[in-house]
Amino acid sequence: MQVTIEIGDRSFMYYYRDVMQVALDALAGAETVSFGDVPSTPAGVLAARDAGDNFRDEHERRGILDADLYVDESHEVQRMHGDDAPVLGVQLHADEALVSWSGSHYMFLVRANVVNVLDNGRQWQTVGYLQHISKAVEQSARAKLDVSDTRNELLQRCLSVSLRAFTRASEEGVTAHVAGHGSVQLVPRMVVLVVDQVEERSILALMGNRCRFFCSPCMEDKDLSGGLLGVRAVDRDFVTTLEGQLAAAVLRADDPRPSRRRDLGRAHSALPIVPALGAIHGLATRPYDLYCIVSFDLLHVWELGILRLLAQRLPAVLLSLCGETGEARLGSVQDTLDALNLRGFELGRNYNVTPSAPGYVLM
Amino acid sequence: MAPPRAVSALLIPCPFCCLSFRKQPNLARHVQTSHRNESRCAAAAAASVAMSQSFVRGSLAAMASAPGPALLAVDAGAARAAATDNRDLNLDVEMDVSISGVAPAVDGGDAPPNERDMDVAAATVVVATGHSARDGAGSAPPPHGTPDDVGVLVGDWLYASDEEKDTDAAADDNNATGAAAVDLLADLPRHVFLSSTAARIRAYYLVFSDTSQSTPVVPRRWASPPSRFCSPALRGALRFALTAGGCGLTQRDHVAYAQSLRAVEQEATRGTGVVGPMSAAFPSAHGFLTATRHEQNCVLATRR
Repeated sequence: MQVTIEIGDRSFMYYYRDVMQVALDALAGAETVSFGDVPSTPAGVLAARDAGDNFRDEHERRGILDADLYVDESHEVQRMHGDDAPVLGVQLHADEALVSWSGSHYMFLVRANVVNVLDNGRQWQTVGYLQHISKAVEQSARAKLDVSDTRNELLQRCLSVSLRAFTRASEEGVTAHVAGHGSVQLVPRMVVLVVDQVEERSILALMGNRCRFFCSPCMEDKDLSGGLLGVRAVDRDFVTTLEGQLAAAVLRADDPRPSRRRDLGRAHSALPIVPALGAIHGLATRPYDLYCIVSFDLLHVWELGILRLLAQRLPAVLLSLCGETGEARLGSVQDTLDALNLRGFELGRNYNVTPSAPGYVLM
Repeated sequence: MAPPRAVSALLIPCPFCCLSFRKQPNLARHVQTSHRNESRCAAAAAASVAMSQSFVRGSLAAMASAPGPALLAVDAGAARAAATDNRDLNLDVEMDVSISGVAPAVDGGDAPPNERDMDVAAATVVVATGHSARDGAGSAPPPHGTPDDVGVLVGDWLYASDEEKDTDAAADDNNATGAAAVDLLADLPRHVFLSSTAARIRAYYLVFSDTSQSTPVVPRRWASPPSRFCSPALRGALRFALTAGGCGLTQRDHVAYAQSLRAVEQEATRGTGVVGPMSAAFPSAHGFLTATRHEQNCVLATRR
């Protein structure tokens, strides 16, 4: 589908597929579908309730289907929609990419992945192509602000278009055919957002620079960041932040002056843009995971060298944890380090910018 | 015609000290200079509240006989006229409007000076939609489905529950805002609590109606023609042409690839009089390129 999105006096073309439709198509055509360890019998439901949200000590996590986010969402969905309503988990990935070999044309891609489909190690599908908005030609604060507002608004409106059916289904649930399971009432939830920090702040409509609270999930002051006092930072109040953004977005439509948004930026480091993800149930409603679903795009984080620095400390950490036996959970310490090195080598081969779609995003 | 109305002299108190000001910019300047550490939004909110309490002077008889705004439905016009002209007389109507409420945006910001004598209902729409309603309260509500109508949902006049919504709608048919809200709520699932942040964000983006303006990238008619890649060999050739190098072959490479395949077939079937599948399906190399594009269109038309 394509739609022309008009912002101010400019028009942008957005090519997209409905995320809900993509997820349902993937479930209908999949060979292997799993909804995690969702109990299907009343006894299993009772046992799961007794066990609560805590896993056993010997529980070994195998993937996102037994991650805390998915398990919490499953419990919440079962509480609201019944014990036989599984969670349709969707991951979202957003990043800018080259679309021409000459390196002159960029496009912002939105990809989605259904975590319940286990075929071929899960496949990402591109669900949106956003038009790239160039920098302001005029080097003035007003022109830069206009471009920034246009970029943020275009991103959110495009996301809202792609997620419209998904948003509605996240509240009501949807009955669809699932390969191997028949007709199932599914409750879609957004479980992971794979982005860099720049895209993270944009998608959550938070300020990306010259702000006080750089952390999305908490209110750690930048002056205390990394210090001992920063540990005591409280979690971000998503209701206050979203309400402020909603009110400021309404106000911005009439008066886009920077002075009108200064208080919002000072108090929440937020932009006067409404994050479209806030309409999805499970993010702005219980269990309130809007600021918890952000995950690293390791392809980029590794390139930044952060994990490389961490990896240099891993041998000492593993040796101290495993003690004299040198046995890690999945083998010896040396085997674990070899696996890490291999993974790093594989990631390193994807450093070069390429217009072809990435083969995978490591979670 | 009603005589021209005059807005009474109004003093806006500073929320941080005992001073009062006649104009909002004066208050803003005072807060900026004397209360640097205080929230300017609080001052703006105080000014907004003070302005909303200003009353309209005029002849009661003239106001009672003044016709309602044109282009409105009968019930909506009556309700809106009641909310504006009789605002200082009819306390019940005022209560209804105030329940509908002014969004926190007004509390957190300040209304432009030229909106100070705007009627409350129009002010609600201004705040709710974020669009200027300077065309006046007399303009007709847009038809259902247009970007402006759903914007009413964004306001803070939210119902706490469905029961409250239904009760309000049934009890007060003259409330134009409530009637419009009931119509708009038909689009939402029945158990949506409009007071929730998620529902308000969803309603905010429903205003833009981008999704309803979406069109298919490829017309539906492309989905009907049968594929010309009907054998495994041809499917393999198509797959290679579309995926080689990650993003597929260029158009020139498509033609060169088809020429190579046709040449191989001709060499293999030389002297036998048999035509290979590639040559039979695509009489020319450019035919392969065209069929590939058609196949892409077919897939795009099928997938929505």
